[in-house]
Amino acid sequence: MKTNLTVIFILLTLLITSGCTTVKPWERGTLSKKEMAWSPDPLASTLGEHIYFAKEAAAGGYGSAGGGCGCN
Amino acid sequence: MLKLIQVSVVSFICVFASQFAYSASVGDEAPSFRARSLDGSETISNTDLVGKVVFVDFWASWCPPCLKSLPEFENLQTSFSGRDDVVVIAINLDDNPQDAKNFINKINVSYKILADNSGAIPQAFGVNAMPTSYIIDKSGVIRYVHSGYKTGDVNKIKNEIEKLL
Repeated sequence: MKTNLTVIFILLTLLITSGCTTVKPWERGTLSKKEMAWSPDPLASTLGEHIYFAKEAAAGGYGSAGGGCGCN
Repeated sequence: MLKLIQVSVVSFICVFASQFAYSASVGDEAPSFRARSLDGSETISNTDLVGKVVFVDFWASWCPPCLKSLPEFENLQTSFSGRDDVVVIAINLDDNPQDAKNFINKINVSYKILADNSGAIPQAFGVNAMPTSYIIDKSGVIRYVHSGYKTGDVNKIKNEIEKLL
């Protein structure tokens, strides 16, 4: 019984891990399309984040920019 | 239980290790390739280029640095236009060749533009970034690899080509 479970586990592990693959650099055409971005409108999302930061005094959760000049 | 964990770890290592493919580097013999030009007018293979210094660039229309580099590579072509032992080739990797044609029609380039939408050639070279260019010497050995592109990099590439002439 234990041997069967081990075999099933091995097969399942191999089956699942065989689905893992990396996208090659030249295969990123679709990923680079505008509609594939997290935010379809970077300007609007930047503005939204700025308002959120101003109201909540919290920034960085969506990534941050700037060189540390403290001028934002 | 310990055995199951060991099996899992080994399986994961085997699967992920297979993702690390060969990448051609300086000193390696350039992989063989054969590709049609973007307009379909000719086919070029590495055997046609023996005895010449070959600059090969891999690009795609969706890659912003590639679009910056292509017009600048025309400077290379112009600089070596008097020599028949230097060849500048740009291999397009778009899934849809029409995307590449739309861009090429906007710029004025006289060097050879090939197309490989199968991905076989970049796979053989082990391209690990877009764009990546290679300088192959007259005996077919890779002498320089340039990953990415920023304005002015063409001068460095030109110097590397001149070293091989």
